[in-house]
Amino acid sequence: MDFLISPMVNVLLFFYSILGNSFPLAIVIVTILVRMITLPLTLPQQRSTRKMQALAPQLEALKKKYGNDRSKMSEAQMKLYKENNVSMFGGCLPLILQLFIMIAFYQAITGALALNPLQLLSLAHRMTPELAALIPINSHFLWLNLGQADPFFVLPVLVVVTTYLQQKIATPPSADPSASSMTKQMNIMMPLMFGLFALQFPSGLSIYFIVSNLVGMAQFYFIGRKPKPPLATASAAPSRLAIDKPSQAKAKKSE
Amino acid sequence: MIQLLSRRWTAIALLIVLLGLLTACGGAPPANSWPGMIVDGTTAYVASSDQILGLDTSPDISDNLRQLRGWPLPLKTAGVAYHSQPALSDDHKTLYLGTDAVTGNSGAIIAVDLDALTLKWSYPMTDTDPNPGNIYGGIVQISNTLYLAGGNGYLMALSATNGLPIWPKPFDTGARIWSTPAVSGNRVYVASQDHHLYAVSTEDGTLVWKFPAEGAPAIGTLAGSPSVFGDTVYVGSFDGNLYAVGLNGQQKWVFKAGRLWDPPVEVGGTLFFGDLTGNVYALDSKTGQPKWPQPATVIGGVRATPLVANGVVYIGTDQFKVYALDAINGRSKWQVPFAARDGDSFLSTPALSGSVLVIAPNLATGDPIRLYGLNKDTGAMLWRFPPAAK
Repeated sequence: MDFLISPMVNVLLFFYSILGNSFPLAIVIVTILVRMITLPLTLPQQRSTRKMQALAPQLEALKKKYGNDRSKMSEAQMKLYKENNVSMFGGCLPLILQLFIMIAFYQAITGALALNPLQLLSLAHRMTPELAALIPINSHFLWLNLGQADPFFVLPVLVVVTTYLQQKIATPPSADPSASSMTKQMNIMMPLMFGLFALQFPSGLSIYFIVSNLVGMAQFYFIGRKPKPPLATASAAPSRLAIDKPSQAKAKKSE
Repeated sequence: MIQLLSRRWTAIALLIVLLGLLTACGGAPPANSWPGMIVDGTTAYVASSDQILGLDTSPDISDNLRQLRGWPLPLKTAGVAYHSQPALSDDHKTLYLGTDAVTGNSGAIIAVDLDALTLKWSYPMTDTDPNPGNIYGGIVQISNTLYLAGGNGYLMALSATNGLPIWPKPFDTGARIWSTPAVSGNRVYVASQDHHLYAVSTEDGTLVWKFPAEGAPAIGTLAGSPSVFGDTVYVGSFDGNLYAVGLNGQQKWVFKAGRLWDPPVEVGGTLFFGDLTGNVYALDSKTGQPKWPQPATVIGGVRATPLVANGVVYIGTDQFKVYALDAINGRSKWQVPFAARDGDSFLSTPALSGSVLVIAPNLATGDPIRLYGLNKDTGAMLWRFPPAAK
């Protein structure tokens, strides 16, 4: 993890130095940078989600067709996704990566603030000589001590709200009632868990959560503005749902 | 659907792992500094994380008698930790310690009656008393006065008898202080993380001078303590310079080393110190000229002031190594390469107790080892506390 933390610490300190010794601004800029660097990994995930949302009517039709036959329903759903190049596992790698980055960022924020002697010793080993004069970092911003949790709970509330909104707009539909209910639960649970993190951990990390969520939502919005590619229809689905390219559906039938 | 579910469960599992990685659940509070230790004859008092221990350092007593009766002190309070180097009263009957908060920045100074093993007094006494903040540095006792500094930037002087402030108000440097003040004559010297060394009157806590003076070029962060020998104050900086400052606040000389934390110790006109890049130096205290042909190199950074005794320089490093170097030429006499895990280190100055070199490790969270006793001539381990499980 050190290979991620040390560069992050130095980049944070660099932006701190050029942004008028403002640590919150440094966190915002580094968060946006991190989101840009991880774009090649998060974009496919968001595109897949967009496609899943576009396939919602077909899924609904499959649900009506197969009723309680879960295995056939699942099979048809997979087929539909496969024909439309929707990857279910494409979302896991970015998720793992984002969690690693989040842990590294948390450690970079607390490491750069160096709020106790052991952290300062670690920072002394990590930072480049040019940045050593910046220590100690000004950890106060408005009512916040960035190394501690927000005492007035403003940031935790914002974390919950932005996480919920991001989850809400980026949740793929599901035809399966149990998966759908679980998704609903997750949409409540995840924001609450992140809110719990925000209650306990340095408020600098909350700034990262909020900015990261806002960037994620903006990314999703811009993906949605692009013209949608034509969708293929699962062969198991009724032909009336072939919303695009009827000739393609015909070709498939003749096969 | 199974895949969708598995993706959701992956997310939950990862969040739980994240929570585990970010938090330390239960057990002793995570260390946020290194142990403070003072040795008095064959007794070592160790302030380490959530405990204050009294240990017998003799090499020839059985393991089950190593911890003195009645210790660790029954002072455990939720959220309070102990890392400050203790001070002992002249009559050896009172131990003074600083405390720090496991989270936040709130400390206290406590006086412990060593006969009754009870608390004599603690400061702040009321909510209106200025809080020193976390006290990571040591306490200095001169005559009947205690000098200390803390995370809120205050330098304070308290009565050793009752803990009442000696000065009308603390001296406020405006930035956190995690180091030990140094007292010489009627001045107390303190290094603040506002990048200044201050000389303050012992009488009333007023500023005498600060280094560098207003308008002079800035220096790097001063994380460590100053030391005073003769007519010179020495302080090391993160800019890699060891500054020798006269008692009038004027710079005498400067020596370029690696990043520096705690100050040198002077023995027979030679200053001994190490830097965080693993170099150990011996300089002429008057001129700052090196005395060894080249610095000795050790594995790991040197944070603490070395111990120099009988021509040997004892050093612990942040890579969990202990070295004994020849004070004349810096050559290694012996070294103990303890098997280190990530986070294990020696960050405190060792002490001698007869033939035993006593050294407090700083171990990765959760490990209970508080002290090692080594043969001062060979480095062989004589004992450890708590003893190894059989």
